[in-house]
Amino acid sequence: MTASTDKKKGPIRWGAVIPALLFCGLISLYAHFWLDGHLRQTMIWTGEYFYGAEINISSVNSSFLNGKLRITGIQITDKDKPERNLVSLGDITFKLDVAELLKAKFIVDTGEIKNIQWHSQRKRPGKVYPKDQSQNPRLKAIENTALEVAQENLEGNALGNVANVLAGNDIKTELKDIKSELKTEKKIKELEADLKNKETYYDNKLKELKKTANLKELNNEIKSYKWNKRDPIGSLSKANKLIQKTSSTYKTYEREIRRLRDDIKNLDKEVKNIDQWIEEDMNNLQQMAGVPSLDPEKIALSLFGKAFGANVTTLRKYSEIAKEYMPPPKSERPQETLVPRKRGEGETITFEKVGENPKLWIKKILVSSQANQSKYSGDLEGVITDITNSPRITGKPISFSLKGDFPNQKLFALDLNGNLNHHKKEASQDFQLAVGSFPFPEKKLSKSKDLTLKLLEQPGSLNLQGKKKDDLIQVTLSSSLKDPSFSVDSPKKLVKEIVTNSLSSMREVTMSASAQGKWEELKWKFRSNLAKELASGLKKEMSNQLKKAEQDLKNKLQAKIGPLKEKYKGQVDKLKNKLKSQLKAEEEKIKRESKEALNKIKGQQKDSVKKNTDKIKNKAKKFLKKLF
Amino acid sequence: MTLILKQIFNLLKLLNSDTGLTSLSAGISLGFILGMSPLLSLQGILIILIAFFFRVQLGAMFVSSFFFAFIAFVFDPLFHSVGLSLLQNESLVPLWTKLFNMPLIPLTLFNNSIVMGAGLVSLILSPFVFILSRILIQKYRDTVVARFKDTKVWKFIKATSLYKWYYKYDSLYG
Repeated sequence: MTASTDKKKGPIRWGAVIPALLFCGLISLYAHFWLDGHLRQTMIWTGEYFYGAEINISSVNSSFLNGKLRITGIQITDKDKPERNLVSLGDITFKLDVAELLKAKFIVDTGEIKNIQWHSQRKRPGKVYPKDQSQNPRLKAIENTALEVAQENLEGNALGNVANVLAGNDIKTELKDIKSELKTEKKIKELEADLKNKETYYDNKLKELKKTANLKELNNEIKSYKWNKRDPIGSLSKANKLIQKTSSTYKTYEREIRRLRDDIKNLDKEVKNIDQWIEEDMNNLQQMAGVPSLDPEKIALSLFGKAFGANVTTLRKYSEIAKEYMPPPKSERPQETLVPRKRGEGETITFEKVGENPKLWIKKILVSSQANQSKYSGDLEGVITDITNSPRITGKPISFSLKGDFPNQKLFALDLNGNLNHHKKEASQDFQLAVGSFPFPEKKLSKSKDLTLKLLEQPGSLNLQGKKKDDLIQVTLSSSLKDPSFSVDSPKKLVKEIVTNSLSSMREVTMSASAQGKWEELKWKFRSNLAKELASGLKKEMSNQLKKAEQDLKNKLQAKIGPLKEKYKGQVDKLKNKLKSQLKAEEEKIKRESKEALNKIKGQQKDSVKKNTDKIKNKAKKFLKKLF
Repeated sequence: MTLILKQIFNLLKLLNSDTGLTSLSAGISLGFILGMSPLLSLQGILIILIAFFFRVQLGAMFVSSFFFAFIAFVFDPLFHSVGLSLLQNESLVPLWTKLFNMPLIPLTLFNNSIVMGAGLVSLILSPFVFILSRILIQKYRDTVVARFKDTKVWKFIKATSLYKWYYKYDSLYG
């Protein structure tokens, strides 16, 4: 039944041409009318899935033949403030290279991003999706482990007890309380007790020295020494040996005496220590009596620690996000094994080569924005270059540079530069942000009942720099406020006056912060000149009061410690003189005895030599006479 | 969907008829290549177009494609190792690099180990599949269909007016 129809048909199915053309026509119609809409929906869905909050896109226009992609009205909801956008981009245009598209490569020579606005108001609040559905657990952990130190509410506590001191606590009252705590007093008593031990020690040493057993022995040897006529050479060498022994024994004694004298000198050192202790006591008393003591790090932390910590945490978060999309170094990639893979996965190998284009390369994106009525719009110009999936193929870093002002937000001379150096063997990232002027928010420095001190909102400037290489990051921030204004309030007129006057001379407040090390174990440093300046200002204002207090302290110390010190010094001097005279007498005695012994033996030696010489001479004379 | 269902009915009809042996075998053979490929790539679209414009039994192609896709995962380790050894072969790397940087060729996803392995293996085996399916269909017609046609049940059905009505309808509109 079908055999007759089959025989008429050839190998080509001509009847399929019309359906195929129809199909192509439908595809064209789809591309023309619906593709852009579906692309828009896909972009929104993908963006929301990864970001976790509502994203709006007004329109998407694509043209395969012209290689053009234009996206307008992108609004990304701020997750913390859904009634605002985190960022909104007015117009994004990309011109793709069509020839490269046929090679499945996305090459953009120049792209443009226009009308960027931060924190612009939304017509209606954006949806924020539950974190669990959209957020990577690792990122969630990073967000939750925000810098502990930065989370502390240090506002209002940075000035410690300065206010209490200024509030008029009487210095004399403080002094009464500290009388019994003097360190010097305690130390002198200890020294007095020790001095008795030292006296006994030196007495024993002298006795030991007096036990001149060796010298006596030597004297006996010298006394028993006699010239042997029969052995003159032996007698001579014995005499020499005795002379040497006498000299060395004397030297030994002399050395011992010198050592004792050095020991005695230490007694003077201890007397000098008393002066040092008095000085320490004086400093302690001054501090306790209310000389302002401010912690510069604590003040710097209260000024901008929270903001800096939060920024570093944000940097870490984005670094982790970026890491997910960057291929790990070859050494960290898993070993290739022949383990069965899921259907359709396999392994995709790219055969890119230098000189050819990589899969994705956006050579240049021009960023521009002009300030309008919106509070969050700004005049911005910049360029982002060489965004690619294979920086080693392009041999260039991914760089960005943005400059501009946000006049409505009082942000001026903003300059952001950065490089993602993944084209080198050792990848690194760095950025620099300079803001010429920005509104530094009001900060409470003290809110005790005695003093309310605020650093008022005013323009500041900042420099933020960051570097990351391997696992090590380094972020530094420096900021300054020229001619700072403060608000001082106190129920006590004097306190208000002192603090106001001490702050009025301050010309600049500087702050610096740094975080260095691995993400998990960052070392933080915060510095500000505010503490130093405030302390010096307060000191200046309080100098008269302090000078009087210092004099009072000195007098009190003199009255208390002076007699004790003099008494101890007298005891030491007495012991020293006694020891010195004893040592001198001993030294002279030993010197004399040694001299006598030496003379004696030298005399004996001389006589014997003379006698023998004379004897030999006479014998020689007699012999010569007989001969002639 | 209607087109696919019609093609499947045609497949059953052709299987049980005496004609269309080549188009059936070609359909099974192309379905084999299509089913073994893990992703819809440029060569997949090319095969569909070939099947569409040439007189290949589409029902046979879709059914065999579905069948082979269902069992293809078993051969994935083999495809992966074959594809990987080809892609990593030092002497072939310049060729791959050139192909990778040519227009349209990267759209075939040849640089994926399973696509390469499955493509190569299925291309080599497709003539054998074509011949084998021809033999098996012929054998099926000679044994199963011929024996079924001799049964009393088939003769009874053939004698009913409903069958005659269907036969008339099929010869006019089928």
